[in-house]
Amino acid sequence: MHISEGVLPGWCLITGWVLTSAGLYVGLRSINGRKIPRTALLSAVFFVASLIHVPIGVTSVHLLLNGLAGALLGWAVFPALFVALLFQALLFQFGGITVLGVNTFNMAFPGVVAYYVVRPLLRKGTTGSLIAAGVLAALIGVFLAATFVSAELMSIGSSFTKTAELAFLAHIPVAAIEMVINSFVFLYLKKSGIPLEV
Amino acid sequence: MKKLLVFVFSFLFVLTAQSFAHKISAFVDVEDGNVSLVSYFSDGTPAKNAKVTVYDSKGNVVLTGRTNKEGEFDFKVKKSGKYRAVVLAELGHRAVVDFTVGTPAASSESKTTGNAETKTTAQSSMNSTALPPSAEEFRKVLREELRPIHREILKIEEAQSSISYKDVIGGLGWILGIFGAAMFGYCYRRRESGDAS
Repeated sequence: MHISEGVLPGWCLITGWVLTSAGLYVGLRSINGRKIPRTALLSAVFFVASLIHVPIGVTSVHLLLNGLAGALLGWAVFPALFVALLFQALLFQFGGITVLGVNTFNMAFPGVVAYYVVRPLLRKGTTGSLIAAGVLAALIGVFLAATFVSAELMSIGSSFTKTAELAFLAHIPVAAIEMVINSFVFLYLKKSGIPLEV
Repeated sequence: MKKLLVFVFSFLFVLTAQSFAHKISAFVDVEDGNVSLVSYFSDGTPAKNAKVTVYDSKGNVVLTGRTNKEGEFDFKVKKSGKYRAVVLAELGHRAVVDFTVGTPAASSESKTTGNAETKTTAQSSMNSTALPPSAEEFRKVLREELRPIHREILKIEEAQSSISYKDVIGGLGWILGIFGAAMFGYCYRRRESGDAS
């Protein structure tokens, strides 16, 4: 779900950069010393997760894990994903530098939404609520990102419903895998006595 | 629980080993104005039904079309000169290829991957000076002879456009480095202020 260089018009790119800058500002302010290692770890996870991918019909999709990163980082998901996407653009030519703003926002903002939605469930901390949190984080992260991408591709004349339909259908397996991963991670952290929020 | 974790991670590893990448690449093969274009996601999945637009050197649209199930699109151009093909696949994937048609000895190939910046052009053109009268035939024979090499080169280019483990490990190193520097700065500042108090 990386949008390539040269696809979107200029105003779209600038809007993306503005929103991402705002997110980065809030995110960097929210990072304290204890949060730095966690941000680094999830940034690395996101960086590698994009290489794990599933060919589906006319397109190919990969794991995002932005819901997981968001749930565990809060607003710090912006700097984490920004760094990961920067190196994906530089090393793998996924996306690109000019669209980095748009791509970061697409991935990180759903993460922030996931954070606020699953926070009560993580606080509750029972096995059931942790699994529910994992499922919700995956759904929000993946499908909200798909919605953003579809909305942005409207600007080059693709129909929203058609792109969204494709993006949603293609990402169902991704969301399913992520639900399992997220739930395992939450349960594991709980069991190891590592706080789910910092 | 541990077993499950091991399972998840080995599962992830298997998936990673199977396929790498998320961008499209396009490759072009030119023969006498017949151009065949192939487009793949870099794990080798063909980019089906992707929109192809061909521009001439002045930026005018020459023709448009769509790739078939194998990610291929064949077309003809009449005038010789430089062209650029832009492939636009679903969900905002885009690849750009430059190619030349009808230079003196009429055989050229080129490719670019993903984004326009990383452009490598491999051109093989034969010089047509001092050919015997049956130059046309000679060229034809030569082209036949060179075809396996031609294919080999395309294959190597395709292999090059995929991602290597080196890039992955390098990227992880960068991420650790950046956050490590942030951690260093944070600890340093805290120690300074600790000393002062």
